[in-house]
Amino acid sequence: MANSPEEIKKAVKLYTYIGALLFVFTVITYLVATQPILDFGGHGFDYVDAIIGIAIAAFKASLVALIFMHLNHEKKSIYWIFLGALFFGVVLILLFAFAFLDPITFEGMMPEFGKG
Amino acid sequence: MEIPYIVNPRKDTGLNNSKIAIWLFLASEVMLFGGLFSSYIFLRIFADYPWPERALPVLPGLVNTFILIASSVTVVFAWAALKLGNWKKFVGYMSFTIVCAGVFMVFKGIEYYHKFHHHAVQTTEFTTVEGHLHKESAPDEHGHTHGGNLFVLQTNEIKFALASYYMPYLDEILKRNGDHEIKFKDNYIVTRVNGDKYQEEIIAKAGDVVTPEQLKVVLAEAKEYYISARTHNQKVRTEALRLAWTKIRTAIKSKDAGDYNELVGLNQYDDAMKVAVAKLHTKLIKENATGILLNDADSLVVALDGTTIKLDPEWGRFGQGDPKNTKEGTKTSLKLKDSTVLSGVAGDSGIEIDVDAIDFRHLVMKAEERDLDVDVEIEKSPILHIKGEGGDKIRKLWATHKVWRDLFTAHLTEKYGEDEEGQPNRVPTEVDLYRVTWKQMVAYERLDYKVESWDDVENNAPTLIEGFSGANHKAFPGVFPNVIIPREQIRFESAFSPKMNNYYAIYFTITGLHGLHVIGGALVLGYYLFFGYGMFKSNPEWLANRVEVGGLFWHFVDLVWIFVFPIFYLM
Amino acid sequence: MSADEHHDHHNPPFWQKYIFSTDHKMIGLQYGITALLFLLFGFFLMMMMRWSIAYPNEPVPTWMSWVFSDNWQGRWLTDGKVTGETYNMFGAMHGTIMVFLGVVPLGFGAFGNYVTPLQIGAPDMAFPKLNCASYWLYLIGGIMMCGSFFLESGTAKSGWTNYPPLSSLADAQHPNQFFTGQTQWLLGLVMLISSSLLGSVNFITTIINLRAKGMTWMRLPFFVWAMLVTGFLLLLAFPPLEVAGIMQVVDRTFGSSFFQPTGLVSGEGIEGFAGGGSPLLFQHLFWFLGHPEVYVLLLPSIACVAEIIPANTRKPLWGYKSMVYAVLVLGFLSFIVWAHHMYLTGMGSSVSTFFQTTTVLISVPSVVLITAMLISLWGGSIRFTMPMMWACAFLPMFGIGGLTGLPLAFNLVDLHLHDTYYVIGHFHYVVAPGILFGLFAGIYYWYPKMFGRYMNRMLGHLHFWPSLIFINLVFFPMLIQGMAGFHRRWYNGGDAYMAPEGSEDVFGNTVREYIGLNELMSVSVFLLALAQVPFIINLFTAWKMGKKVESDNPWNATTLEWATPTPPGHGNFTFDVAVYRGPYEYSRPDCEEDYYPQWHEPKADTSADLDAGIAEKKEH
Repeated sequence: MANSPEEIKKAVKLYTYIGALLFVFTVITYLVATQPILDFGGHGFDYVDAIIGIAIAAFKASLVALIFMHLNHEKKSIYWIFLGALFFGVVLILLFAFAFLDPITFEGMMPEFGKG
Repeated sequence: MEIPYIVNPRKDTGLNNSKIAIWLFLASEVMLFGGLFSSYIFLRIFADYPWPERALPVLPGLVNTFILIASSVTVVFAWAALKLGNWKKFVGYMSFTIVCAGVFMVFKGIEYYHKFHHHAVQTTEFTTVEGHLHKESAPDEHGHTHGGNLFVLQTNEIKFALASYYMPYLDEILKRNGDHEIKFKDNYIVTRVNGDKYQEEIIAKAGDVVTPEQLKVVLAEAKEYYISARTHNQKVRTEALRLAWTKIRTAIKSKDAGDYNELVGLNQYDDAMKVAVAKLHTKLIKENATGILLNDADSLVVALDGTTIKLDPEWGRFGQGDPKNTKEGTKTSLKLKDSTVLSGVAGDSGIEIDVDAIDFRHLVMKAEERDLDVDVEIEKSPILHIKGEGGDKIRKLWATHKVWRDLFTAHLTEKYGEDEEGQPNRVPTEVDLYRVTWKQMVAYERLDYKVESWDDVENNAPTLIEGFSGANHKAFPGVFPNVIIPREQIRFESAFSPKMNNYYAIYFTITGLHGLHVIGGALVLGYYLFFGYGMFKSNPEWLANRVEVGGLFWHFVDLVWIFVFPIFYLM
Repeated sequence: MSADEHHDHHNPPFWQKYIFSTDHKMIGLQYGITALLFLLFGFFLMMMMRWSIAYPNEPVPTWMSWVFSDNWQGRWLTDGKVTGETYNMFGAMHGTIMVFLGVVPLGFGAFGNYVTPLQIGAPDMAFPKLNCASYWLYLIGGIMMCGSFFLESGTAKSGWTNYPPLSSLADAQHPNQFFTGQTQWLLGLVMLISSSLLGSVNFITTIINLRAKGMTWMRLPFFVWAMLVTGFLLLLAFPPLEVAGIMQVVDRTFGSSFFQPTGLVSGEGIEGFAGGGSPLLFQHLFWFLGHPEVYVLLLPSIACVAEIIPANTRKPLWGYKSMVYAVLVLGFLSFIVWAHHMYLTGMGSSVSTFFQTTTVLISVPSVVLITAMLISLWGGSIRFTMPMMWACAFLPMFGIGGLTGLPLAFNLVDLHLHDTYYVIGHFHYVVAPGILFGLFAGIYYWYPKMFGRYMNRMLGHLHFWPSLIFINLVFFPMLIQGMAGFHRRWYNGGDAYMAPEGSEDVFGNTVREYIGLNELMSVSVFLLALAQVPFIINLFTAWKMGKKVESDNPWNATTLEWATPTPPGHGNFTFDVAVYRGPYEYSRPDCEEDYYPQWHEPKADTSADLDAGIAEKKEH
């Protein structure tokens, strides 16, 4: 944990740098979403854009978590608490996957129920 | 007694209490927002209607992202200043952070305001038009008024449910009835109990004319009477039922059960037993064995003379179900949420709207499900068959849009080529093909409805600033066609609120909850800004800890927004 | 600490000492009293329900209906009989009150708060003011939920599970949605969830950071491990339910369609929602909490029993380490079994198989826990004190409950048993004769520490034996009825389905065969209610007239709570607490006494010295 004045001053420099990086990546997110040149995959929004968008967001989020929230030099137990929560959070987010495996929503199997 | 490790960390865990606590709390917040994002994914994948992609104006969200990132940086600067013992710097950075929070909420407020004042109307053929509604207008030459999104009913009769009628509705209805005559339709008979004597009394006589005030008084009296009569009658009936069971049970137990011989050996569920009890129960009530039943009519009916009364859609569930019942001239009855029923003839309840977007995607989806020709079905849409100036404009816009989309399709094929089967590598999206956006409307108007090249729209579209909070009716008067959609053609209408569809519902829920977290975080940080000086003087380490914990929460709030922005604004 | 806080410490005014107390013991008592009152209320609701089941065509007897005003009866009973709507109200509230307002606050809020800081040697919880806030949020949430009985719409009526679209449409016809029972239920739930979240943060921080010197992880009494896991379950599992609750409130008040599918038709016609929502989404979110919730119910009770058994067998708890690992695994697994409540939603075989596997897996740590406690009895010098009787009853009762859960774990068998009385029998066996007996054991065990007097033995027996007998008579027939096909939530006990003698209706005949059990169960319930009277009397009379304890450690137990004065004062311990050995050092051959408390300093020339070790003395 940064405690001495020099360490804190160094940390402040790092925070400024990371803050600027976050700004830059926000602009990148916006450009990737709106400029046709940066439209990978098919025209318009598709899963490729979703992956890129979430990846950039995850990168920015990890910058905030690791550096602004000091996770990079935090005690292990805190790491475990947060990672544990993240794990279960991902399990929760993957809930939809279970429903996807639900035959009622398979178009082919039950066309009259297909597409919800 | 002092709780240890509030300020100084414990040696073996290396942590102080508040640090553990805040990370635990953030873990639960991860699950909270995780649940919301999970719901978002679920709702989007299983949407059976076209999901609004990139429906929100991006600029407010982008600006808010910058604001929140800046505040994240300054909150950590504030903490660093505290650790270095610099109170003034701390105040400066912390104030900036809180100001950022305020500005964030202001932009959010602007966004919400514009959304709530923007409406969408969906016709029975699944065409959607979006735009601004007009306030209730003055009557035209036929005496019709429009706007205000009200249900118009030429009311002959109102039936009030005594147990549940809702005063605010009653007040409004009477106000809108104005001076028109109100008459009692039927007699409302009450039973007055005087010791042993039961006397019937009519408190509302059929044919009597009453003023609104008198009506309210009679209704209140009738309600009070009804509730006490209901209670009394239930008591009588309950006692009678107890008596019936007792009589039958005693009869069965005795040596000779008489009429109830065949019930011996049966239990309380057997049909024969139930029938016998019910019969005896009815008999006892008729004989007034346990008391006399009072009159207990549960509603009071008044007759009106066909006055036009306008009803707010939120008062009831009318307009849903069979929209044909709302066609002007149909005999209909409308039930309010408080069970009041108004009967009469439907008036002209059309919605007047300045259209700033036309969307056929849902119609296309339905047509494709049924294997129908999409373009043919679109041409059948009632939106393209409205008479008058507004309708003309819509037809012009759609024709122009069709020209543009052909040009755009050709452009894409030209730019990105075709694959080996002759299929173009890139095709326009559903949004490009079937939705006319407000920006396109502005562009088409500027081009006088003649499009020559695919990029004409881009070159003539409004700027980012002009479109800051979406369709800008003020900056572009006359561009947006004004039409009246008859109520019987309307399948669903709503403001851009959670009611509209699940995209807006989850958007408002997540951003609303996030906004509450912003306010909460700002309050906590503000507390340390305004009241922390004493602690700074006496125990600066403690204050630094507290600010660090508050800062961690603030960063989490920023973290959530980092995901919210691309997911809701850009996808 | 600032000077101000020291000032008021020694003589807080009445409202600060008793009402808005920040002392964990007072808060624990507040939780306990409130929870017991809610349990009583929930029991009463269930008595009305059981009347309706056994005697659906008879009016509620006056000895039950006197509680309600005449106007209320006029509105909600027809000819004095419980109507379907009223039964549903009672059913929904019975479940909600028992789970959220009764057992969890009693187990986690009351016992957890009172005992945990004592057992780890802490002066209080890490965040006393937060603790106070937790209690008051709980009380407010409970009052909101129960207060809705007086609303025009009545209270929530769609089951404690509150599934939409039924629950979104229920009470929808009232103009002011805020004052409907369903909405108040949701808002009350948000209060309760906030209370639990703050509580769990408090508990976990306390257990991690406020342990006394020498209290290493493996010297923690099992009670504390159980509370730690319970805290994590509450922390991580409740937020999705909060999300579901918020979304349902938005559905009700703003007309959104989170849970409304397209084209829904109700009795009022086509519903005017935009549609596109999913009722299944609510179920997933609900049961994501719902399953860990049942372990939140269970663990505090096992915690109590695990403390009582060693003290009353004068033997260490058998398999302490296994129990610790088992409870940690249980906590982890409990997050990935939730959809076994949803086998009949058409999930498909791959998903069902996954959940079936994890569900069967989770029975392993539960069995480890029960078996370890059972083996702990072997070769023990058993003292049948009142707490021990309840603890011993807990073991087979919870065993029956757990075993009856196994068929439900398999989706093929669940096809037949889902939503039948078998399920009700199963979960009630676990909670009522199981968990509740364990908590009663805890009350009888720690009462002397709280009030300095034993609870009366005669009244204790009058409470115990009838309760044990009647509670089995109530719930065992449910298993039978369930296998016969009786549904849950039938307000008339099957009356509507019963076929007359000689009919060819197979189901109707089965109903006829077993419907007589209803009367047995209902009469047992009424007698069970009577059996609780000695307990209520005991709680009050023992307080002032009970036999006084002979020492601060009347049970001669080894854990730290018995090192405090009786009752413990502010700050709990009157000396600098240090821990020198494990929590269950009973009957050590090298000790004169048959117990060696955790806090006793080791004598230099005994082998006990090896445990404490001079080296360990230097450790924290």
